[in-house]
Amino acid sequence: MRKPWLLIVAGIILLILIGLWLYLFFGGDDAREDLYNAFGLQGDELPFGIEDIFGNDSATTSVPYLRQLSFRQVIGYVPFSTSSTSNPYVYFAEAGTGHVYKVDAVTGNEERLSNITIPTATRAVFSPNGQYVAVVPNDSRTITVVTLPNGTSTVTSATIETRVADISFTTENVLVYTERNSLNTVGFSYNPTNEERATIFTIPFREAVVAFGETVNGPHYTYPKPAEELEGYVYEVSSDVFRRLPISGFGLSMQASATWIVYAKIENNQPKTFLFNKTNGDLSALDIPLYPEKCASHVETFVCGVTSESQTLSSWYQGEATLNDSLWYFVPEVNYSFFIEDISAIANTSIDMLYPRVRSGALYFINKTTNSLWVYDRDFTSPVIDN
Amino acid sequence: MRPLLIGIVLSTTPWFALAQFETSGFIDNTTTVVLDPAFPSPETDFTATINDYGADGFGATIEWYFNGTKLDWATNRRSIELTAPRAGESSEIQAVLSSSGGALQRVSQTITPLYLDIIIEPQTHTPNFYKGRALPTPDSTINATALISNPNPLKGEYLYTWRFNNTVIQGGPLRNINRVSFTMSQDSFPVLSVTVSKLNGTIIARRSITIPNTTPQVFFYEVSTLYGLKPIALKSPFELISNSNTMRVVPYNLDSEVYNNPNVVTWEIDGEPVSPGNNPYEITLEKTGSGAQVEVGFRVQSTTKFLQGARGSLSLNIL
Repeated sequence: MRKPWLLIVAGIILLILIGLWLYLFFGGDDAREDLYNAFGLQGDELPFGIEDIFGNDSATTSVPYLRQLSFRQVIGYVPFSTSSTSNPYVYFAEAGTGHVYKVDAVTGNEERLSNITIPTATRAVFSPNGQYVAVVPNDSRTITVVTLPNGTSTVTSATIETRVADISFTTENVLVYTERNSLNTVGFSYNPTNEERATIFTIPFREAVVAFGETVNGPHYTYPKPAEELEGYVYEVSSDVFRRLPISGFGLSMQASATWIVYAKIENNQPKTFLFNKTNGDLSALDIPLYPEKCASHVETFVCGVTSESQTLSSWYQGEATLNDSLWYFVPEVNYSFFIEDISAIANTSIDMLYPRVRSGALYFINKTTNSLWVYDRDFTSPVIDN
Repeated sequence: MRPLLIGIVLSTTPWFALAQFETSGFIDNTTTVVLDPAFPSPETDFTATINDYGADGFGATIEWYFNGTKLDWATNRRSIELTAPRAGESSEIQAVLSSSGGALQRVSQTITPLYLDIIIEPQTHTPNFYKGRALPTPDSTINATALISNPNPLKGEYLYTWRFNNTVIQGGPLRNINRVSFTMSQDSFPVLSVTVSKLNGTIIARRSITIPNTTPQVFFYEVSTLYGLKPIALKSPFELISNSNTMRVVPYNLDSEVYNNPNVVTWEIDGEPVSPGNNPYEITLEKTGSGAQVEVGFRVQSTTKFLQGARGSLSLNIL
């Protein structure tokens, strides 16, 4: 008599368990949540921030406007716009390998485009059309120009033997770079389509920084490497021009747009920032000291990473100082500027902005602290109002 | 008859006029307009001063003109401040002195400001990733380049006379050589000057700068087989997690010759000397235990240039 009762009870328990399994398997998230709630097993809510975009248990379905796009270390990138059928995406090169990836700026999905390895890859620049990437290793003795696959074509590469200093691509998708010899700095162009190389200018000093213009013919701008203890001067340079601009000072560095040059220097032992109008020669001062390397031009305005910490330029370049940036917006035409947001505080991590670029209203940049690629996808042309 | 003859003789003797010190209509060539600085840079302020060594200007009214326009605010001032024009543009400064006797003196000075840039390039060490300029240190080699422009580079031949702490470099003016090398002195702010003149000796620009002296400084960095030299300076205490770690020391601003051929390079771990590898500035640390703290010390020194040396240390927590 006992044995049948035991079998019946066991059978009922078994049926209950099977039913539970079926309920969980086909019932979806709501079912899991109901069950967890019933047993007091509330899942942890994820903080609103960078983990959301990759997390499966996201507490929110919205995409954070400040987000890290990849966990790989990035040495160069180029963002692309959205279309009606696709999200914005970014091509980037990975540090150490030089491999090239494409990342969806909304979903974070990655796809490798090139597995050509450049050992100790340290710097990379992309052509605006995304067809080429130039990668420089740690010793700066070569440039490897990789042609990325397009349709059915495969990845190819070519190597230039050179002691490269500065490097960029023009809007014509031509590589421009400088090489230092014992006395001078020489600018070259390299057309990846026909592998033709040409000399485009010579600068009569060696320790030159070049801010390349949009085309091979320039104008480009050059100045001696900055040092707070030594004076620098800005020159406009192209194939037939080497012209001094009325910009000079100690610790001098600059960034240019089509109309404006924003430059920083030390004046009366204080860092100061200025705007120079290339069209009419007008000069104005900004109230906010900043490093021009942290500025991206956007039409005729600038969006910049600005730190409140007082660090010397040399300590930042040496990697001794890490800066925590906030975003500022500058409208040179009317000498107007405003604070946007403290992105380091929002991300709850140190953001030391480098290589910022604006594309389709979004600001992309590399965080120097971790070499990670980020996007700030919010209207930065208006101040953020806290409600 | 005799008085008439005496009167004629007296009235026609010129030395009587000189003896009376009458200056009516007499022009004094010792009056000049002096500029400070003597060769102002474009669009910078400078001072124009009347220098009259003779007594002729004593008590005279002074009127100033700038490019022909009278400066009412500057009347009777012996020294005024003006702004130089843009590079390559000329401006005339004129002072008109009117004596009480009605004599006029006009003295003028024309300035054509030029940019005379002196670019200092110390031949001292910095790593590839460092975006700043190397700094001078005592006994290091300095390259200096003078660029003169209006604002385009001047064409033609010029003489460059370089002085470092009042010693003429290479002994005299250099024809068309706008670049020199010299050894940095040991004082804190030595002076470098360059004078640019035409081949006939006419000076067209002159500039003096002070060059700050610094000392070499040591920073420690990690070297990765994947990434190469990582551009983040290590700070004490550095947590050693991996079993093996390669570090490189960068002695910023050490003279490049000393960096390439150091006389003395020493590494120490807790005071005990250790040998680096093929690169005297790199050391690979292998972990043999955990839970300890060690001090890694480094020193580089030249035995001929005694101020060319640097030392530093890094504390490691071995986890």
